[in-house]
Amino acid sequence: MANGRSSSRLGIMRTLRIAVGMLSGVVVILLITAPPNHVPENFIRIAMDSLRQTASDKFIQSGRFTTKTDDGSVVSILTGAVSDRSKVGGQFLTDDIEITVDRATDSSLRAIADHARITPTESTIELVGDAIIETGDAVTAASDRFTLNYDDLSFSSDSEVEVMFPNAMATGGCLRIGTDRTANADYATHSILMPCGAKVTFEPS
Amino acid sequence: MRRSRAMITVIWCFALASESLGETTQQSPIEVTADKVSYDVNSGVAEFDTSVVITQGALSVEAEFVEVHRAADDSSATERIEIRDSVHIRHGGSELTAGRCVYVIAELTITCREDVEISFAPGTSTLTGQAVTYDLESGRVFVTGAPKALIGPDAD
Repeated sequence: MANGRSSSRLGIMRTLRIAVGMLSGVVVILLITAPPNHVPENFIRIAMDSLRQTASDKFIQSGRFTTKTDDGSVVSILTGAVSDRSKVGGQFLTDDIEITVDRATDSSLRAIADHARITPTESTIELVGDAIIETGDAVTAASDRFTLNYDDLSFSSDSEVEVMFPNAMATGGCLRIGTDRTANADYATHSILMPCGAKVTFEPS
Repeated sequence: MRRSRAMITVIWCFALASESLGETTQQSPIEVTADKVSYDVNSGVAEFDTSVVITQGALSVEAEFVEVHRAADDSSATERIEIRDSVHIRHGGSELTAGRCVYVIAELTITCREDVEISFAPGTSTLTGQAVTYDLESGRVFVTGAPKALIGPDAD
């Protein structure tokens, strides 16, 4: 009788061990096959008018900011050190700033500069020093300063600019790179405007 | 009769060596200046607005509005230039005025419409027509639609 109980317990224990083993296997498989979580800690869906203050707050805290806007664009801003010591006249000065705007339509903009001036009360970031903007369509614009406007995700420069296209080179007195913010737009995603006079040289292909 | 006259095509072969027309080849860079320039990244169309000047070798074009289009099969190649509003073209001693023109780069031809007038040298010959195609390489001019030629020292 005792032997019968003992063997019954052993059977239950064996079954439990197998079940726990199988369950562990399933958990391991689930962990392996689960998609990695790319969403950053501060990844939040916000309206464009909220972007300004959120960006400023995040800069002050860490010099790193990523968000998704109401039209599906993902805006990421990464800077070097941002500290209170660099606070001059209400502005924060940063080193080595990089801004990327990835649109839902697979187009993108990337801006890098030596320095940036961030004024928390304004809806712009000023990029100064050697500043470059690249579009996902192999267009590169260079100037000694650009301004990112949060309200329409546009970059502009009122200084001399040089723009390299796949088959052409342009120089002009000012520049504006606008982003089409229409959700799911399947037409023009970026437009480049040089309203202060420009010279464009098209090279033969 | 009037209709057939209107359909007459005049081929004006200007007996000038290509050297005298100046070097404008498909490989010559095209320089465009304007007061305002805009470029649509998606379509690849560049628009030049107000006081537009195009130069390519010996070719010089002035107009108020120009669109530069890239080839559909190759995004980096410039296919054609659409020119309009007070078009004034100079090339190898020839001068052409028109309302609008299209310059096809690969063919080195400029086709113009609307009040087209082409003069070859001051005081020599003038051609007018509804449409004029100017071959930059050979110097030939094809005039269609009510062509009219004034030849002689008083042509101006």
